[in-house]
Amino acid sequence: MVLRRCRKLLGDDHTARDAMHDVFVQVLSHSDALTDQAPSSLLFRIATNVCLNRLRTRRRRPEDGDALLVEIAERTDPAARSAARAALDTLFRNEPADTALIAVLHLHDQMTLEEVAAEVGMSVSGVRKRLAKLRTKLHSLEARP
Amino acid sequence: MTRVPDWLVERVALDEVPPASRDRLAGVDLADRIAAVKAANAAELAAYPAAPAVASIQERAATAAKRAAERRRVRKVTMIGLATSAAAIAIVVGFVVTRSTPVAPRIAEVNIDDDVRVKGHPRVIAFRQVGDHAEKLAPDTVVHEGDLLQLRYNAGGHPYGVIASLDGAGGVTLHFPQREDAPTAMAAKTTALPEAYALDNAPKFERFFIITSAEPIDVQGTLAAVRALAARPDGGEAELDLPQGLHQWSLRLRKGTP
Repeated sequence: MVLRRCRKLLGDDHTARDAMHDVFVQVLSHSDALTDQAPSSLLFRIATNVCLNRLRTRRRRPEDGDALLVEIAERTDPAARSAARAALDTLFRNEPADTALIAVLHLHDQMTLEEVAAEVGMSVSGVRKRLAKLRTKLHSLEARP
Repeated sequence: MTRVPDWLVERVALDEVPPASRDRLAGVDLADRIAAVKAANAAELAAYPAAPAVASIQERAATAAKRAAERRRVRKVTMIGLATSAAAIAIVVGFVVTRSTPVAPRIAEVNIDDDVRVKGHPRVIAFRQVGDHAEKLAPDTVVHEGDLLQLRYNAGGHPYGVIASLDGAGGVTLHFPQREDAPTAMAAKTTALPEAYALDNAPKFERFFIITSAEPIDVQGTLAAVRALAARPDGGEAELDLPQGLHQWSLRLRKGTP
């Protein structure tokens, strides 16, 4: 499950395997603070964060595609597509890490607001506000000359 | 009916469906997809036995634990340092400021043989692949999209370092260490980074920073400083705003039109 998740977010198999190792390193490193409830949810969340961290530090080359983030932008607002492609780095750069996680879970994984809220331990209204803020930020980036 | 997403199929296969998702599964037959997940798991384990991965993970976890302990030790030393007398602090600050003065932005002629320990200031040395040989790039050399660069570094005797680049589009890339949570210990001799880099279509410049210190470096904080510089109009020339005790040097390459 973890490897499939990393493959889906990162694309290539080698990077995904390396990221999978990182996921379990984090699990081992924080084992004292973890509970044994819903381990698949925990692993899914850690894997998503590990992959997002890697995407944030990856060089933006055209061939990299950053398909995941582009997809997020497209689902957030199809009309803002071209501007969003250019602004993705700016979009997520100064956001809390869990905003990107929320965006991925809702816009990429098609989780409902309720499912996202349960996954990240926030209220539904909190999740809705984060997504609304993200949309607003996209629009403001689009409006830049 | 909307297709059940893959993540939820995985949860069903593990019998860990969250309460918030149960309604989505009413009347849905996932038997084939669950069978496919289990078959993929079996194929993966057959092709890649777990033991080597477990060993690698345990080794990384041990390294991470060691580094966390090192960070705690550094914090403790810092707190002790803050409690010392004002005179002692003034001496230390004076020393740090002196040592933080940026060095001249040029590449000295150095022996780049990996087996030779090279003294001098910390620096990044860039080579461009030209046919079957490597061309050493001087500051402000014009490079182009698609050029393949290999980086070497010399830490100038400093034990810890971070290498990151900033391009004219504001893109920031971490080159060393390879991950934000990896140790920042640098080799004592001139060393090549393991990966070459193909330049993208970012305009104006590519600027490679090497940030070194006598202590382990906060990679995320350092990247934040590079990103902050990226947001400034003088990102191609200005220095990074870094905490005292960190040394910086940069190599700038100009981007030419295709």
